[in-house]
Amino acid sequence: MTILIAEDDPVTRKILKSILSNWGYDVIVTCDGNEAWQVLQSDNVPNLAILDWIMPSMDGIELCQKIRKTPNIQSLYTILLTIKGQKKDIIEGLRFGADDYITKPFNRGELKARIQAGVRIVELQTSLASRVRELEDALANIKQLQVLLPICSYCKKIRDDQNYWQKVEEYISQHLEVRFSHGVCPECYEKIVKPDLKKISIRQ
Amino acid sequence: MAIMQKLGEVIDKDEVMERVDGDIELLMEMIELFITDYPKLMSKIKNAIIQKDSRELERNAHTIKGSVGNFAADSVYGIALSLEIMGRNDDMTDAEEAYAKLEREMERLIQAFDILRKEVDL
Repeated sequence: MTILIAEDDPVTRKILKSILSNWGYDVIVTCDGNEAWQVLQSDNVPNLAILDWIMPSMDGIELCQKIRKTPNIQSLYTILLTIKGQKKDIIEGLRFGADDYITKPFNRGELKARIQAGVRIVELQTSLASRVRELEDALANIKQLQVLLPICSYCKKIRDDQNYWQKVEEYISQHLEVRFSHGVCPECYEKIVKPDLKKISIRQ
Repeated sequence: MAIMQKLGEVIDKDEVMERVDGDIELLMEMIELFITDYPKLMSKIKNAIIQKDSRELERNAHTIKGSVGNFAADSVYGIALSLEIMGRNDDMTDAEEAYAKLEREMERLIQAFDILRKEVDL
């Protein structure tokens, strides 16, 4: 689990990095909004971001708004770090896209609880996303079956896309995860196998 | 004993130790960072007052407030907050006086840090 920190005050940056590392998180530290934005555009996108509200170049609110408008990071879990602590500011922060907030100087217990809440949501999102991918793959397979298949009325061969006539079992094996094991049904046994066996025994 | 009292007037030591989870080394590193960083902020605040730039005053007073907040240094925090509010309200009538107070309190904070460092070295 990687956490991005964007904070302009070196003392707060130091204490945050140290606490989060001690809790076992990988931490990426940045000094302002622009630097944080560079990290978010790289391949190494963090799972969670703690953004200071007031920073030079780009503040936390601006960064939050930018994140929400950028497709591959728009669901990044963001926590705003603020000393303001006034209700009006908190509402504003959440309205502009932050998922949560922590007021400075922070209480370690509260910080831990809020980060754990974020981690739970991030993990849930990740597992939901992989479920959706699995379902999309399954749906693509089902779509392969929803086609009109030309079949020979006599020998029951199927004509594929390359205009090639192939046996039903070959066609299905190629298009689905199905394998055939050959046998004889009771009806065919009576109608075909038994008379054949009889012919053989008469010949002998 | 007198020294300890002096330290307690400026910093709430128990609160600071709780914040760093008892990690003295981390606290010392934070102090180093603060000592390197704060003169820059102080001169920015001073310039903002001279040039009557209320936005700049608000921003830098806010930053210094956030920084000292980590050390549970309530008196410095309070003065930085009042300067921040002066900047926000664009009313800098008492700013010079508040700045002088901030300078004095900052000096006491740095002394308190020295006492803390010596305590650790013992």
